[in-house]
Amino acid sequence: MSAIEPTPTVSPVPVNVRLYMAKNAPNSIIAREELEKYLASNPHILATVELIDVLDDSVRALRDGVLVTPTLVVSCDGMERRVIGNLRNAQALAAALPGPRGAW
Amino acid sequence: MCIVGIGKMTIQMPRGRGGAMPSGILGFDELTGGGLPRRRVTVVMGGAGSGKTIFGLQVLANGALLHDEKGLLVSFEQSVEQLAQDCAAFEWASVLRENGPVEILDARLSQTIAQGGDFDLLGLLAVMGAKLKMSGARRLVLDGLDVLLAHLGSAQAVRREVYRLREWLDASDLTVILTAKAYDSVSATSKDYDFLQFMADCVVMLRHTVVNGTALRDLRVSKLRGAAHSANEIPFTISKYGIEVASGGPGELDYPASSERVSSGVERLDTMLDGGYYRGSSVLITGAPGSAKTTLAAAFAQACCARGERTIYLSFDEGPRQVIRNMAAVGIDFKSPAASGLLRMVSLRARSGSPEAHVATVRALVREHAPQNLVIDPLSALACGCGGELGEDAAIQILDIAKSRGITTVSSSLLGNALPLSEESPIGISTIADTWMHLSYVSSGGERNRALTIIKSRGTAHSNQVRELLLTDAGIHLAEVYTVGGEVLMGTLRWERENDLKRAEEASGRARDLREREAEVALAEARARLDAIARDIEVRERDLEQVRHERRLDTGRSVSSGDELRRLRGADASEDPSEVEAPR
Repeated sequence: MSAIEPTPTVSPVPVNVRLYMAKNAPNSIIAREELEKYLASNPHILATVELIDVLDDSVRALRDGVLVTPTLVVSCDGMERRVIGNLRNAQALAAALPGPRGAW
Repeated sequence: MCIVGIGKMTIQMPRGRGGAMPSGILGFDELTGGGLPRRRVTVVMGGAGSGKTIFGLQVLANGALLHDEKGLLVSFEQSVEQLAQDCAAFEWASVLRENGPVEILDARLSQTIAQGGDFDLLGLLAVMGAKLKMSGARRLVLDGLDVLLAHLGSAQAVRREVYRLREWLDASDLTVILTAKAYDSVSATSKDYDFLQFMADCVVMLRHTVVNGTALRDLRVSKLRGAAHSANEIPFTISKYGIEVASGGPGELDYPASSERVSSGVERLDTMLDGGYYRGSSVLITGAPGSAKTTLAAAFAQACCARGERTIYLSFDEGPRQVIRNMAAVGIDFKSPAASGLLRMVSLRARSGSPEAHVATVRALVREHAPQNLVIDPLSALACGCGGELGEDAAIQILDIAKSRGITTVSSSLLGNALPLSEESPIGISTIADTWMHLSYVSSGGERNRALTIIKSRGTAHSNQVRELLLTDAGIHLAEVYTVGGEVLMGTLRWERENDLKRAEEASGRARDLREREAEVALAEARARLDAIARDIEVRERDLEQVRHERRLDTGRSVSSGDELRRLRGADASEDPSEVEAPR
């Protein structure tokens, strides 16, 4: 009888997520929903999410080099990844965030 | 290709909303009756390298330099560093700097950025708004917007965002230039972005083509709301001043008209022209290859420099040193005035640029050297390789530049056709030249000789006689020609005729000398004879006088003797002494 190997535990990966959006613009609403859905289904991602309305804080958007909305900026371990669009492309979103094994 | 004639391009029309905003691009504001529509959107379309970005940057730079209006260029394709490098050669490049009057916003999407679905340009509008507020810019250029739009994926999304942009721009009170690529070489429009033309108030098409190996640029204002405009293709070039559009200046000609005469450099030609060329006029010298067009033009340049006048000598396909050497062979010194800076010698390859590029070169030379005189040898080089219409248009522009500044211009024009004696100029500027001289070859007696004819000279009573043009070590000499039986004698035949006349004159002189001498001898003889007669008369008079004197003496002696005899004889006092016999 073989011993049952314990399931490897995945330690949460802390990431900073900034979503630049434009108030109630359809693509921005969709992006927010897609992001929330993805994070809910990936509990290993310990995300600190900041929603930034570019119409209210355009100077910050300018400083951060944001050109289109929505834009997702993921920072982790001093590195940064960006995804533009409403995040309905799950592959693009998954590639921007840490995987189940913490790989990024 | 349709080229609009010079003097027909100026359109002045009222504009809606903000009126016209001067672009500062030479020729463009004349073409559009004042410039771009202020507080409106202008779309500039063209293929790669057609000058779209330069157009936008130049409008911004001119706004800052000429009208104290700040500008912002949002670049979707090139980095700030690339743009700065590309524009470094332009005179106005200094305004492109961070926190300067013209700023560049790098709006390129990184190649590493992932696309996670549909997006909109609200973010772009927000950051542009922030940047515009910070910089105070009133002029905005969106350069290469199509690069960003291409990420949108669907034509519907592109159209949606463009109209969103249009609404934002309409509300912004900015004057906007939007550049986009065009791929269709025929219509110069891109099917993907055709609708950009519909949303714009002004559409400018830039085209860069190659004709017979010569790169040509032309510009077309295909749309200009609120103003009638010419939609013809107009040549333009890119010089260190940026884009320069072909322009004939104001439609109404108002050149200065001087009554001062300037020497052609050939004394006899000055006489034929009643004192020389008019200052500020344009002189055209046409002729076959080797007919001394260059030398005649160079003689003028030398005379100008001798008067201390600044002069430009522009030659095509012949370097300055070669020109100096060749002219020295006919007694024309270019070395000294060139060394002193009085004479600016410039040589260009005819095929090194489009006719419009050569116009820009001349314009720049005139700006820099401020000449009183201009020599172009040959002007016909402008038509080299790209057809007569463009060359003619360029030639007219150059003459217009010169005449509007009172510069006396002497241009040669090569006849390249098979009619060496023809007086038809390949560049059809003969109609606008004030003085037109033609150099031809006259063949007779087994040789060809150069002949000069003044075809026309406006405002000048000029000789209608053909002169033989001789090149000597001391320059150009115009010789009298002879006609025999309706045929003009030149060269050896003229020389023989001159010798015959000389011999006949000498023989006539000799005969006259002989007759003169004979007459002098005869006169001398006559005078001698007259003198001898006079002397004879004198002698005879003296003899006569002597005889008479002697007679008087004899008579006196006889009276005395009679008295004495009567006294001796004691005769009466009344006795006639004659009756008294004289003593023996």
